Order: sequence, then C-alpha cells, then structure tokens
Amino acid sequence: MIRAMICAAIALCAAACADLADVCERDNDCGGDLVCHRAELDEGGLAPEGVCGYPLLARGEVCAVTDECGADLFCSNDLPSQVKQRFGRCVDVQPAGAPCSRDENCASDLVCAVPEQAETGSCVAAPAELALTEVARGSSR
Amino acid sequence: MLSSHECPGRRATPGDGSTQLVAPVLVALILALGLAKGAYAQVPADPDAADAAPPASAAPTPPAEGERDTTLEGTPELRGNEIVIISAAQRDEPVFQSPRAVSIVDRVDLQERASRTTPEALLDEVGVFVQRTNHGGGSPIIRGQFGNRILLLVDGIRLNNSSFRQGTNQYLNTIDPLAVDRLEVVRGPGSALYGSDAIGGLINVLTERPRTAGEGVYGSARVVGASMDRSAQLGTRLGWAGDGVGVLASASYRHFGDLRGGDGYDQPFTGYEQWSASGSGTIEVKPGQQLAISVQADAQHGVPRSDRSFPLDFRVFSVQERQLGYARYSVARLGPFRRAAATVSYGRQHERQTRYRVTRDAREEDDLAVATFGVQLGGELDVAGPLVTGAELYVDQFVMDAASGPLSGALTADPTAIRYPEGVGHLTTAVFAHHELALAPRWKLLSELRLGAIRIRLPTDDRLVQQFPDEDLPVLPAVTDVVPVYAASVYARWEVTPWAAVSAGAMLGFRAPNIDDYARSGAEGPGYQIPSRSLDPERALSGELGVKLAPRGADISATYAYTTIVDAIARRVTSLGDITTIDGLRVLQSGNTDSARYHSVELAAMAPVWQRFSAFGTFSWTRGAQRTSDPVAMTTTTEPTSKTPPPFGTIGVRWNAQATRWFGEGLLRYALDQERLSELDRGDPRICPEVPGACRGTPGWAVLVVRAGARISSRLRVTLAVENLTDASYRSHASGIQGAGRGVSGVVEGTL
Repeated sequence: MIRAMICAAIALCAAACADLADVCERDNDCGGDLVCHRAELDEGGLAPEGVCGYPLLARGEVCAVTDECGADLFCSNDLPSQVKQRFGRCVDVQPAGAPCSRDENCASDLVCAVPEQAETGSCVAAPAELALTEVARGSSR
Repeated sequence: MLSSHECPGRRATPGDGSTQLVAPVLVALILALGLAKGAYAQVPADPDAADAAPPASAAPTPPAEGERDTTLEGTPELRGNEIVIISAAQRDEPVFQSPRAVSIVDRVDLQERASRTTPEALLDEVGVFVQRTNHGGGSPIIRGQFGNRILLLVDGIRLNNSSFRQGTNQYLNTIDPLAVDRLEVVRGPGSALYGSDAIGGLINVLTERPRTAGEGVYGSARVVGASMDRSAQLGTRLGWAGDGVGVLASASYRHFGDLRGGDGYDQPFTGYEQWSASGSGTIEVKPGQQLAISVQADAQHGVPRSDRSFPLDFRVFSVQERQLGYARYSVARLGPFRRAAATVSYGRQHERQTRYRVTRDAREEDDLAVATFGVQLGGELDVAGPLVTGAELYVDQFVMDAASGPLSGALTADPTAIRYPEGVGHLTTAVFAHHELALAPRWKLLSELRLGAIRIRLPTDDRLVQQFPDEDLPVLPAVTDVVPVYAASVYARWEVTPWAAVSAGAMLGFRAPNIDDYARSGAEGPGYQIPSRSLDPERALSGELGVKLAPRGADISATYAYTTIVDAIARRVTSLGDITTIDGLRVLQSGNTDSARYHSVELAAMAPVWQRFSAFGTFSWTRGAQRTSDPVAMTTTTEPTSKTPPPFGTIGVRWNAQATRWFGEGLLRYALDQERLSELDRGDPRICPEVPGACRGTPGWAVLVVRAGARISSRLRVTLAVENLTDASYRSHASGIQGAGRGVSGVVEGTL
C-alpha cells in the first residue's frame, strides 16, 4: 500500500509539463491541449520564447467570440440574428456582399460596411468610397 | 524556467493523469481503512462538551442528544427546530427561535452535496444565488446584493477588506471546503453586529475546532472527484485531544481541469490548482478559560479569468492567496459577564492578475496584497435579558505593484498602472450591542445598535495625469476622511405555538466607501474605473416579515423583505476629457448617484411525505429597481438593478434509511429567465454577448441532480452524485462560464 502511495506521488510530480501561461519554446513544452504561443518579431520570425496557451479553434469548432478562431475564420454568432447568440462555430471569412458585423468577418481584402444605427452590414471592397459609415469594431488581437 | 524534459504527446482528452491515478489509490486506501473497522456501529456523539462556553463567533458547541450530530462519527438525525446558529445574534440560538432569516450548511450537508468548493456548498440554500465569473470563483448574491454588499466572515473575523470591489468577487472560494465545519447564512442587513458591507446579508464560515475531551488521536482523509471538470481533491486532517487541550491540522490539494458545460462544450480557461493548510490549537488555561489559536493558508494558482480570456489575449489570476491567523481567549465568567472573549487577528490576501497579449508580445501584471490587523472584544451580560456587546478594530495596509514587459522575460515597474496609489490606508472601529427582551411568555423583542467610524487616507494621486498627459486632467488631492457610521435593528418575535412563530423587523445597514471605491484605477468589471473623491456611506433600510413553522418532522420558512438603498455607490459611465473608452472599455467612476429598492421573497420547506421519504424545496425571488442621477445632464433614470438573479430554487425528494445510514435524493435546481437588465448589464459580455441581435438576458434553466450516500461503517462515508442528468446547456445569470454538464462526482471520507 505504501508502495502504491509512493508511486502515486511520483506520478503527481511527473505532471511537470508547462501549464497555462508558463514560458515555453515549442508546443511540446506545454501540457494537455496547450500550445506554445510566440509573438511575431518586427524583423520577421517568432520570438524564441512564448507562453503556453490554448490553440486557436479550427473550422467547425464551437466558439463564443471571433477571437477564439484561427486565421481566416470567424465565429458565426457575429452574423445577423434576431437575438444575441452565446455560441457559434468557427467558419470561413465572408466574400464580398455577404453579411458581417465587423472586419474580421470578411476576407482579408474586404471590410465590413455597417450602416449607421445598424449592427450588421456587408463585406465590401473599398471602405473609403462608400457612402455608408464604416464601423470598425476593435479586436484584441 | 523551462523543464528539461519533453512532455510526451499531448492528451487526447484533457485530463491530468497524475490526479486520475492518485485519487483511486487514495480512495482504495480510505476504503480499506474504513472497512477494516468493521460493520456500522453507532458511536456516541462528539463528547467534546467540556469546552468553555463559546465566545461570540466561535465554533458551535457539540450537539446535544437528539440534535443533528454533524460530526462524521455521529449519527445525524434531523431536528430542524433545534439546530443552533450563532451568527445571527453572536450567541447560540436555535434557528427556529431566531427572528432572522437564516440557514446553515453543516458537515453532513457538505458531504452529502458532494461540494467541491465552498461557494458550491451554497448552491441549494434558500435565498443564495451563486454567480461564477470563472470556475475558480463563486460569488454569493443575496436579495440582489453581491460583492462588497455581502459580508464574508471566517470564524467571525471579517474576510472582506477595504479592497473589495463593487462587482462580484472570488474570495469565498479561497476557503478550503474540507476545513469547513459549517456555513451560516444570515439574509438581510447585519451591519448592526458586523459593520460595513453586510447589506444583503452575511456568510460566516466556521472552521473545525480541535477537540479537548481526551479522545486521543483522531483524523480523517477525504477524496473528492468529479468528472465534469476532471477534478480531484485530496484532504486530510489529524488531531489530538488531551484533557482540556487539543490540536488539529489539516491540508488539502485540489486540481480542477477545464469545465465541460452541457451539450459537450469544453470550456477553455477554467482549470486551476489550489492548496490549503491549517492548524489550530485549543487549551483550557484554567477552568472556564480557554485559549484558541488558528492559522489558515490557501493558495490558488493559474485561475483564468474565463470571460475575458481568448487564445491570444488572456488573463489569469496567477496568484490568489489568503492567510489568516488569530488567537482568541474566552472566559466563561468575567465580572458581570456571563461569557467574554478577546480576539486578535492578522489576515492577508494577495492577488496577482496577469494579462498575456500574444500579438503585442506584452505581459501586464497587477499585484495587490492587503494585510488586515484586527481586534475584537465581546461579551454577554444579563440585563433584563441577554445583552451581547462588543467592540472591534480593523486596520488595512496595502502593498501594490504593477509591471509590464514582453510576453516572456523581465518586467518593468509601471507606477501609473498600480491599482491604488502608494500610501492609501483604511481603519474601521466600532462598538455594538444586541439585546433580547422577553416581553411576554411568547413575545420577544430584539434590538441592536452600532456606532463607529471609518478613517480613509488617500494620498495625492497623479496616475491619470501621467497616463494621459495630453488631456487636461487634475491631480487628485490628498485626503484623510473620517466617516461616522451607525446601524441599528429592531425585531419582534411572536411564538404563536411551540411550532409556529411570526417575526417582523426593521434593519438599518450600511456600506462605507472603501479604498476600491475611492482609489481604483484600471480595468474592472464592465469598464475601466477611475478614482473618485467625496463619497458617502450607502445606507440600506430593510423591513422584513417572516414565518417559521416546525410542526412534527417538518421545517418551513417564508420571508418577505423590502430593502431600499440610498446614496448607493455605483459606477457610472463618464469620460476623461475627450476619452470615453480605454483599451476598449467604457470609463467608469464611483459616486453616490443611485438609489435602489428591492422586494424579496424566500420560501423553504421540508416535510415528510411517506414513510422515509420527505419532500423539500426552495424558492427565491428578488425584483429590484434603481434610480440613477446624472448630475451633469441633470437627468434621472429608473432601470432594473444590476445582476439581480431571476427567480430560482430547488425542488426535490429525499429518502433516508434507518438512522440515516443511507440516503438518496433527487432534486431539480432551476432558475427562470432574467430579462430585466440594467445599462451596465447590457454592456457586460457575461450577460449580453458582444454580437449582433437583441439582448434577451439570461434564459431560464433547470438541471436534475441525483445523489446517494451511505455510512458504510462507523468510519467510512461515501456519497455519489450525478449532476445535470440531462446534460442541459445553461448559464447562471451574470456568470462568465456555462454551468457544469452531466457528470459524476463523489466523496469518500474515512476516519481513524
């Protein structure tokens, strides 16, 4: 029995993989489902060290906000709806003319043009020439 | 520093293999120890009856014959009208005889509810709604009040300090549930006995005291596990009881994985770790004189702020620590005093919140440590009835730090970002009295009074000037303010029959402006708070009407309360020159701009229905409206109060076997829709997601819980629970996380 307890204690200590927010150099440094997030350097490339964090979500995964979704994806609850939706799924960014509520919903060469007093608009090419007022909604990324 | 090894492949399904291994091993150990002691045998109730009369706010006396024995070794037997509460009047008082709206969660409840945290233990209590911004939090809301309008006490000593913010908070979860002997809840203002913050009510957490009746060595081990967050808790306590002297030590470790919500939604940024340890000693110095000493420590690490965390921008309470040490000397007789006690305490709370912004290669830290020195004197005389009187002093000292830097690497101090300016100080002192007068054989009149003062020291504050040099902002002057405070209560109780009583009361409570109201600068709750000056205490006047019925085997209570708060301190949207938002958050400032009124109804009932089956249920309802004055726009608006819970409660059926050796219960925990929202609620992503559409508030929900447990032997008790049987996807109002999905939790506790 004592031996079993010692083994259990060793197993507990062995869980020394980096946890959320711990410093890392690569994904394998991080425990569980975490990955190593490293900042992009101004001179190009990635910083040698980063922190362990949750990965960005892939297409089709359940999300609460667009900031959880990977590149060229957004959370579908950003799209027009009658009632605020707590969750959506990560979906591909929208082409020109498709509905949106913020720039992140649109393909990289498009922006979201939202009429004044409205919450949603559509993805368009060039914001400067539009009569509509563009509302750029912030992203923390 | 990086570990030198490479982590072997990431988990296919999240879960900490280490704790998954440890828990079964210890469960097996406890089972072996417990079963080895033989079959179930009735053990006499805790014989620790030789202690001196407990001081005000000390642990309750052991149960007398016939009462519900809440020790693991005893035989619980529910006699609802004999359970004693001490927090309502700072003296022992059967719940039935208290005119206050009170409830108790004892050790048996904690075991049978398979509670994994202290806030969770309150989930089924009438009138207590538990809001959770994150999995590591848990903030009680009573009669629509929360945060620093609810007073938390540990062994009668204030857990609230002057840094407690207006929003919901996480501090109740810094108390180890394994060390808790019982939780006492008093609903409605309790300022007359306990001072500032007790507007909505108070929760007194009483930890276990050492035995002193010569039993020798005793102890227990407890394992708690749950599948919905892959959590495991290991706790032990070990004590020694000599003749008039005893010591007790306990330690526990808790690991919480990420919480799975209903419908299989795995919630990132919810797992965390927690350690707790405590030691206490009691010695009978002379006959009738007792010295009790207690030291408690609790540390949480890596508690994510779930509602404001995303993969590339997340916030973590990297440190959340609480320490408390106190010494209490109590005497059974002292001159005219029937009993008296003096307590000296030192508490410390330390929290560090860190924000990681990957794309900006930035890390920001906000660090705050608050040390509280306290002295309490109290005693009970007999002056035409019991007269409890006392005096207290609390002094808060602060150490703040703020720093920023790259994601990984050294940080640089950032004095403009510290939460409070260097040199803030807070002192509170008061005297109070509680008197009970028997007007007639069945009539009782209770009256309470408190007089005191609070001194607040605020230094010159130029943080905003430094932070926004382009704006024409003033430097806030140094201020030392002494604020007189007072509170009072009067209650009448009429015992219509030996099993029915009616009571009515009026209470004047208060919350004095604290350091957080005055001096906070930084992101907080739904906005970015900036400092204030010239705040007054907010005052609550509450009227209450209650009925308690305890006919044979049943326990029924009904309470209606009306509360009005004047000069309410609230955060209002403001601007800093032309700046209306900072870092995407609205600029907010505290002021005595609001008034609010609340109606509350609380119903609780438990009654035998057939053979060994009983039915129980609770219903709680609060409706609040607040008036907000804008001194600049000269306007007044009326709107629903913020974060007010919807109607909520439980309904269930319980089965108890002979001598309560076995029990089983099924209950439905529910909350209705909450569509009544304040302006702040509508801007709070915990309530209204920041996406298109109309905000309809929080949808109603109901979850089914099934629990069963057994005292397998005199030394072993096991409880199993299936939570959220239908795997409903739901969110408690104003919470930052979804409620737990379907899962199994269990508690195994064995004693030496």
